[in-house]
Amino acid sequence: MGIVIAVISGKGGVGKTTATGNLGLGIAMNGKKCIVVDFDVGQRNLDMILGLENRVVYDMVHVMDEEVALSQAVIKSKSNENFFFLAASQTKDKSVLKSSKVKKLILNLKEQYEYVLLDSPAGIESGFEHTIEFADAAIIVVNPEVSSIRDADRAIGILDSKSHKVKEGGEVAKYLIINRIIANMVQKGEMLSSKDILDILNIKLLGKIPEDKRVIDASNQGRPIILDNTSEAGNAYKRISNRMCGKSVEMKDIEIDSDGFLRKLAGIFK
Amino acid sequence: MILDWFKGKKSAIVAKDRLTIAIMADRTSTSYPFMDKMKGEIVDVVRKYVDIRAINITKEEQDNLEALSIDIEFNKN
Ligand SMILES: Nc1ncnc2c1ncn2[C@@H]1O[C@H](COP(=O)(O)OP(=O)(O)OP(=O)(O)O)[C@@H](O)[C@H]1O
Ligand SMILES: [Mg+2]
Repeated sequence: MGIVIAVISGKGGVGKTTATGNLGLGIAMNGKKCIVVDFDVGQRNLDMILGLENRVVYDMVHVMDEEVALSQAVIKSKSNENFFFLAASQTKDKSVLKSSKVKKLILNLKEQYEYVLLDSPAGIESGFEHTIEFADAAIIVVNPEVSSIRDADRAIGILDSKSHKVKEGGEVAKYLIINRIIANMVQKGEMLSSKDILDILNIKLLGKIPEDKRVIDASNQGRPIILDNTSEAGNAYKRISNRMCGKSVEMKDIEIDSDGFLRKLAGIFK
Repeated sequence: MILDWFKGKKSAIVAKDRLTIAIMADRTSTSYPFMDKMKGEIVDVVRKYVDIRAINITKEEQDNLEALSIDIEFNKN
């Protein structure tokens, strides 16, 4: 039986889809069989990040409605033999998600993959509750910015009240990813530090990702940034996926602005 | 540089203070998970006796005590 991890947020646009695609690929690069599922019904996006949009024929709703078998709808990545993808339906009707069907789909996925990552819609969307219902763990993505953090706290509240694991007396594991950190702003006291954010939200830190212009370039090309060894964000995703595969990877302090520091030094000797 | 330090609080510190307060308020005002269901059941019971116009249930917290305050409005006969 695999593990099901929902990637969630309160506020939208914080980097869930980018994280899901890159972490999924990173986990597969660790030799684990991994599938990423787009649960953002009506706003299919993960296919674009992965560059697989032209290969989508069937989506998760076709599978849930038993029109096709799971194996027919799953798309196998060309870049990694352990990496698989299941698309969201583009229907505008969000009520297509029914608890009983979602449960069946997730159990099915769990049997066949070691890691199942669910790309959730933002916490205010109706599909959010279905993404978290049957997850074993959740990754909460935030930006170092007040509204994103406040909304994350509310999303965590919903997670605790809707999770089946919690209803059955268990606990749903929760991990935080802080995305789009700008080191020199943190240094100047103009951006919340990861310590501040952890003090406020009080959950375990899974990793920190710097702001990186190349993320947009990567999604333009449909080539996940984790494949770019020279990218800061790509390397951050790599560290996080290694952690998710049980490797102990030190928390790199990306809040120290090494560039700025060197530049200042250079300035002194001018 | 040093002058900056005295000019006022850094905005990250302001953000942290504001967030701490906002989240504390959010957490206490959020209802219990069973609130909607309970509200429905209360409405069913009270409706047997009076004609309900509005019902409002809030969770209140003080020190280590929690309370529910239930306000029910109904029309004068
Ligand atoms: N580390 C980063 N550096 C720079 N840009 C980033 C970073 N992470 C994400 N972005 C950009 O932020 C935007 C939103 O990202 P993404 O679509 O992954 O967010 P989302 O949380 O899935 O949004 P939604 O709630 O709409 O589903 C994209 O344009 C993406 O390229
Ligand atoms: Mg998304």
